[in-house]
Amino acid sequence: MTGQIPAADALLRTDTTVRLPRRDPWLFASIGWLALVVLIAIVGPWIAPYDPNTVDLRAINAPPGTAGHLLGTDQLGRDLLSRLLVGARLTLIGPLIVIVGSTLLGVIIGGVSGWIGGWVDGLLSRIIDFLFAFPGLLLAIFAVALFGPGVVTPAIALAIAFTPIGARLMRNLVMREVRKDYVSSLRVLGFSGVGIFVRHVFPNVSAPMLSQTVLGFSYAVVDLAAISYLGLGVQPPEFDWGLMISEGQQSLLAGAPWPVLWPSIMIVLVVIAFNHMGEYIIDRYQRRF
Amino acid sequence: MPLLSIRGLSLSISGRRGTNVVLTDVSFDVDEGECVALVGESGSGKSMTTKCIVGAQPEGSEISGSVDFAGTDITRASRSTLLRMRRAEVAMIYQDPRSGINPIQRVGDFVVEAVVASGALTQQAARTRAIELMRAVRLRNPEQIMMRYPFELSGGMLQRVMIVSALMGSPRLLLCDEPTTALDVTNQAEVVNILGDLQKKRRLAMVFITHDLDLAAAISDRVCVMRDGRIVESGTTSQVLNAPSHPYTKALLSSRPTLGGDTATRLPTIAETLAAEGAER
Amino acid sequence: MSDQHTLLAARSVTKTFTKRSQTVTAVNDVSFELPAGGSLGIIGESGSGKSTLVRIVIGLETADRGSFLYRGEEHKLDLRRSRRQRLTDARRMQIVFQDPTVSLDPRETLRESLSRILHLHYNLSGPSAASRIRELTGAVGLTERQADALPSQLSGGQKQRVAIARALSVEPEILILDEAVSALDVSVQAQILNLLNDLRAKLGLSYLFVSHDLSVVQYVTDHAIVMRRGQVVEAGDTRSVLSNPQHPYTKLLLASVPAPGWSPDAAVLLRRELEATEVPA
Repeated sequence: MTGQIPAADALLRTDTTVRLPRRDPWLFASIGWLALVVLIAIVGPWIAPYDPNTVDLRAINAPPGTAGHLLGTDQLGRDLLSRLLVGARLTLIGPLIVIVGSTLLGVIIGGVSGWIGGWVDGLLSRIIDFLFAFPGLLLAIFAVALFGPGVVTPAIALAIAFTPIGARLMRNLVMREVRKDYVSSLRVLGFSGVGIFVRHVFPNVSAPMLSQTVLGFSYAVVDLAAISYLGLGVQPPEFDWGLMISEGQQSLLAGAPWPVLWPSIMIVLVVIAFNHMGEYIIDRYQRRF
Repeated sequence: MPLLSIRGLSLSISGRRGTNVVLTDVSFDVDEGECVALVGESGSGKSMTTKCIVGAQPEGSEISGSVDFAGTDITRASRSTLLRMRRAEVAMIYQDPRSGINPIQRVGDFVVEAVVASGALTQQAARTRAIELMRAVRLRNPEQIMMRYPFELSGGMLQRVMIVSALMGSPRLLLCDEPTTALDVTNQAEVVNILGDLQKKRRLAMVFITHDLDLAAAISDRVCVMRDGRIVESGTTSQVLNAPSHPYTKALLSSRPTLGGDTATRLPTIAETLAAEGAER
Repeated sequence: MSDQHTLLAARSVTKTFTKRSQTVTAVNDVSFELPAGGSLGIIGESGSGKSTLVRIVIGLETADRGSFLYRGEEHKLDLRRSRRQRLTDARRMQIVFQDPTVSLDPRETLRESLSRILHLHYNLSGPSAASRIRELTGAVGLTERQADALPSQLSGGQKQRVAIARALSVEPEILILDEAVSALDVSVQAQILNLLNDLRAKLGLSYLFVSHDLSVVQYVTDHAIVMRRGQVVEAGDTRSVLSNPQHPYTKLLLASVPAPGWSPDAAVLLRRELEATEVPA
């Protein structure tokens, strides 16, 4: 009695979308891998076979498989596997600060900007434009110059530098939703602005924002690794994968690639995994509507 | 010898959810200088039929039957034949002019682009022709309009620009896919009038798609009523409108509120009329 | 059935918009009266100001000048109202928009939507809410299953019924329909129009019916005003306005509506006449 969508019409509407397999094996691989890395970050120090700082000058730059060293040793004879396992924690904590900080700020600034509009939007957008001008790495170096090296200082600087991207995305998404009649209908029905934003607008913009957050994590990992590589991040005797790469350069020149290779592979795999997850989220979101 | 002759056209699309039969045994002719209207609701297959006429049916679809245009079977034509045909023989205008036009290109550049690129006309000759056509579609100050950007023109004006661009290559057949549905009703009357004029003056064959039977009647010589991928009734315009034979056509005609009609009784829905006629839904 | 007591009256409502140093008067000194239980049509094309007018009535925009009287008392719609005022206003007037794909939250089912509304306005939950939801769902002709579907799983007509059910849930006295059937197929349109007429009779609602489609307006309204470029050019009871128009624009509108035996030629002539007497937009 009530009309149905004619079959031809329904098919025609879907035949131009990209066909992504619902069960994406790489997605499970990515999630699995990241779960593993997080696990390592948490329990690393307890499962490492050696103390990562134990120097053994008799086994410098040993290749993988050498007695007791599964992944080999670095230029000071320290076990690479142990260093990887223990270094995971500090490698991930920085990006976590960056992402949590920038997402929070981005959602708040972008949300307020998009929802209220008018001069508030004008002012906040100018601030965001200003922040956009600062490349993350440069801001981090500047912050270190002012406040000294470490894990936290560059992370906070990067969080500020990453905020504009999320804020602008949030603002545009919110503005697009606000224009839709369902928001007007809810207002006319008597719901409060805050209620409409929290229960209707926010859930409808969360997918792209989530994707942005996930992708951002991988950028943060790379940027902070670069900071550590430059010696501006975590300071010895503490270390993360970025610092491992920096310290391992001498070994590379001496013909032993392992101290540089393992942390590099870890970083690359983590970045790929985050990228894949982020893209998957965006693809699913676009397909649904 | 009709210019366009479609016989037994059937189309099915295979998707993840199985095969969908979009068109079944569609047949009709269009003579030189004749206007045939395809009338139906959304999903009836009218748009898909015109896509098949220019060989633009979706990838992976299975097509059977024949679409004969001036002696060439489109369903079996090579890519180069199709390209040549689309450039010089057949043109199409769509429902939404704004989505078919490049917003950052001046209107004049857009209109002459295709015909200059194919080498059919020089830049100068093309611009002259464009201005002449703009006058034919009653656009005032064509020289100025050539310099404008799409966002500076209203929907009605933009649709007329699309008509100009379609006619630049002097096609023999013009396909119009609901060209006035998105326009205001006063603009619609103007555009329909212009199309009717052009069609008569230039002996253009035309296929006009619409969901409005009365609109179809104002511009076409013959009407084909489509439903669920089939033609359920076809004939001359006056035949189909004044003495419809198929229950669906009757239902379409009676479910529409008409000016001056009886407002006290309920509008019969298509389902109700079909049931009353004893036909299956 | 309708008592002649005026439910809503608009007096000299004016609204201008300024965009980049260009001032547009969207609504210019508009007045109208809606009797209790009556149905007033607001006829116009794009740019006529009808949608702006209606958004002012419902409180989504504020007028620069003019006032509204609700049951004889001044009806102020402040954009910053108290919660109580918001809820009271909601129970006076509701609106159904043209395109249900954007007027419904894509993540919400009808049942969820109604639950929230019933909780907000009447503090209903549990079985009393469930029975009211059942009542509303049935009133608009939807099944229980459809009430649990997401908008993307419903057809255009079904979505519009959802929008109507939502609007009716707060028992408004006035229902504003802003081109509410314009995006629907002819057969579905008939169903919704029948539904609207039934609801008005059953629930004693009053309608403000905005549309560019004259035949639809005739079918659903008792009185009508015709708007052009922000002004009311004609007003009266629907039948007279549409059968015996006085203003040249109304005559043009009527001449532009496809009907049996219609030709666009008369409309084109009327348009020339009208434009000759007007200042270009």
